[in-house]
Amino acid sequence: MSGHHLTRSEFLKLMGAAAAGVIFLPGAEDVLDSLAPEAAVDRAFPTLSIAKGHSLNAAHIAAVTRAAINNLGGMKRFVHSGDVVVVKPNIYGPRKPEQACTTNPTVVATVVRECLKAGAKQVKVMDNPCGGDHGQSYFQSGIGPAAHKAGAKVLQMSESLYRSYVIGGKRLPRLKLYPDIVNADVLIDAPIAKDHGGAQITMACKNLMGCTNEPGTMHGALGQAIPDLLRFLKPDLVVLDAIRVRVSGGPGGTDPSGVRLKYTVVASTNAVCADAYGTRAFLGKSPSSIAQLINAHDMGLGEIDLTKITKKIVKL
Amino acid sequence: MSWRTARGLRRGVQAASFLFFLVLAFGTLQRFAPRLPADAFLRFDPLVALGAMLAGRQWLWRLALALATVVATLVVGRVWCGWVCPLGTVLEYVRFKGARRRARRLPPRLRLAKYVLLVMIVIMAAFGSLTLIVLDPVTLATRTAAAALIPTVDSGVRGVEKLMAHVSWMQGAVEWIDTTARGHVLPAVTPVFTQALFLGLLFAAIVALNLLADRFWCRYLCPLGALLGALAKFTPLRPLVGEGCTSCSRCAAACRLGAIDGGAETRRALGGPDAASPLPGDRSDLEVVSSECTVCLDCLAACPAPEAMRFGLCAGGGPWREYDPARRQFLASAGAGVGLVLLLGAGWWSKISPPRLIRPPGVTDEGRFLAACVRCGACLDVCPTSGLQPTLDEAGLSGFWTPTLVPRMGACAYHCASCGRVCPTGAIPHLSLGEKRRQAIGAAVIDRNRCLPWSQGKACVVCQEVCPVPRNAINLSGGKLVTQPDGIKEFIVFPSVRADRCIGCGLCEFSCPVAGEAAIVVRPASRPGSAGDQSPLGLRRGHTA
Repeated sequence: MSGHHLTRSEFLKLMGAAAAGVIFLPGAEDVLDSLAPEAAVDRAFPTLSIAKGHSLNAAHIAAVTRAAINNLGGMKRFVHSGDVVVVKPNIYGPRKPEQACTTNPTVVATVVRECLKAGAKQVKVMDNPCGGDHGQSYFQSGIGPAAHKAGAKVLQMSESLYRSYVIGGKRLPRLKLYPDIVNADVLIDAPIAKDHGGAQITMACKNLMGCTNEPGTMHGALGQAIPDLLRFLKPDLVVLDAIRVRVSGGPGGTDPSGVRLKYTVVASTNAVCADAYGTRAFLGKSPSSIAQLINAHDMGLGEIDLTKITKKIVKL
Repeated sequence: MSWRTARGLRRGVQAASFLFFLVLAFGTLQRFAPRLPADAFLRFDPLVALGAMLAGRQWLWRLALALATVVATLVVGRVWCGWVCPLGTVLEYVRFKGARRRARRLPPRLRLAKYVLLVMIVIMAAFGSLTLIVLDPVTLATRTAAAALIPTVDSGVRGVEKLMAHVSWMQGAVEWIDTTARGHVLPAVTPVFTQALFLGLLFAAIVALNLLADRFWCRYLCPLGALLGALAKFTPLRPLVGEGCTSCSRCAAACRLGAIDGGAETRRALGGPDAASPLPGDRSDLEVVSSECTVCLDCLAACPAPEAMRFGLCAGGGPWREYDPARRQFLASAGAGVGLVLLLGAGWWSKISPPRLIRPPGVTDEGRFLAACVRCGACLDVCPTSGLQPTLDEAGLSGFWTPTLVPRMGACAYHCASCGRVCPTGAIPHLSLGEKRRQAIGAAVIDRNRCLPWSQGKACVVCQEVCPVPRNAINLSGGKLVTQPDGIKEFIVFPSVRADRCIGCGLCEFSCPVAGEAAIVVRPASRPGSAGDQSPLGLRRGHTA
């Protein structure tokens, strides 16, 4: 025998050293992430861009979505060449689009296409469903196949990749979040407008709860934990799907009587403003009666007085 | 074709069969489920068929394929054991040094044990009890694969992923593994079984018995092997020792079942103690015992003289052997079986309904369920949440290793009706998704002393949030905005269960954020006599109310 062969004991020592190295690697806890500075308010565009359509035809829904984004300055305002974008739809669980529990797949696919057109290097689509597993939820909701076809990378959120972040909120000191979402160049919050039995509403703010794998730590103080998380994640763009709106039985009910057709998409730079509008326009409730919105407003995260929010409404 | 080639062919079939078994175990996890016959091996198992039909007092067409195994055994012997059985395959290829030597010291009469078990299983089935069918090798392999092997593999994958997650350039690979494999070949949700360790160790113990003799389980314990052996005793086609035999006993040395019997000469050649009486016969003292032979062809491939061994016709069952069951052993085993049935009938479960037992959807009659469930664990394998768990004594010891829903481990997924589809005996009825969604398997109950809004005035509504039934079964009352001492507003609502809508799927119990036992738990549905009544004597007190 020529050449040096590893003996068993040498091999074991090597493996031991490697294991020790892995164990003493920097821990996955408490990743500090300084809060991004406030973006300058762009006076050229409204805070809310509302596009109203009239049919459930997929091409029409895509046009409505594009119109909403374009009246906010177009996707190029948010996504620049080479950016890694995360689109975070509401994929509540294994529900069909007509049950209005999950974001409309055409809306999600259109957002993905616009991002790629604006020069995004990669668009990732993901959510941590609360009512089922990733595969079934992505598939049943139609979002998985539609986003994939549009060119997005549709990802299951791996349990082992979540890391603990210091949120510094009033009720939420820290939370485990998915690094892809925290580290994305652009975060697009793409919720559906729904009634919610306990949180009152679920739209752009509450949708961010799908970025954690320990939503249980937020329960018990939902009204404050949601704005705490919003302050930390601060999506760059909100595309609120109100094509079908669930006005009762939300967030997971499948009773068809709870669904209203609104054919609308709202784009906004501010999640609180989008939710305030959606609360009034789609659910017929007053934004000042919604705990998560009041608290968010008190933290200076956004206006909830609809008369003070600039809007542009187009009808298709 | 030489016998070596033929043996190669057998090994090929065996490998393919084992691979198919693994494909079924892993492939039926999620999206492949509708396309794969998850219970294929069980359908070919005559012991499962006999037990389930006897105990359930019904003909099950689904298990008619077992007749194919019976016919094959009647013609060429225990081909199932040597060519198909997944457990047999594992035990054939795990070999230990010295096992052959130690095997010779084991008394041949030990082989009787498998017949004792077989008779007990069949007699108990005739009295309506399937408790001992847990010893059937196919149920054993399926159950171990579902509740021990898959969780172990998954746990290994997660361990590797955790290590990879430390390295930034490997994180993409972690996402790739999860996105491509989860829900396809790996479970979408981490499968955790309360008895994974127990089942794994038990399997390891069965494998470790190979230290004492090659294929120890198959020789001495396997009740299916006993059933097939009894059929194979008179099989016309078998390996035969012919004229040219030089009594070199290489065939006996090659046989992993120790199925080649010989007299003093053979035992001396193999280095064992002298036998008391050599077998009669003029040409050679070697003989293949057809009831023990698995038709593995190893002996034929090992024989140095081409004309000395052949696979041919032979009438009759050969001489009586010390381990063939006689009337005496048969009666004793039958008595033991009856005794065990009566003893099980005297357990606590014959008097009261098991308090926390939630059966898979569609199961309404506990007694009929226990008389049909062969404890194979195929349902545990397909359950996408691993909420279905094998019981220990939750159903009473007579219901050992039957499936029960433990909602805190995983809920009954609303989009799934797989357990009834894969159940080989129909113990879990095959329901359409729509029918299954209307089956109330239990009812949720809120413990107001633990529930966050009720006990502490906190804003929590997870139960309502996850409830999957079309018209939410969680009723929210008293919603109001509350200003807390530090000025923060919270919307507090108080949940209660609408029993008329709740189907007991347990998603609320699974998701309840309260630590430890959930503040909302699923109990057996509160209808009279929904559980219990498994005693052959019909002892049962009142209702479950």
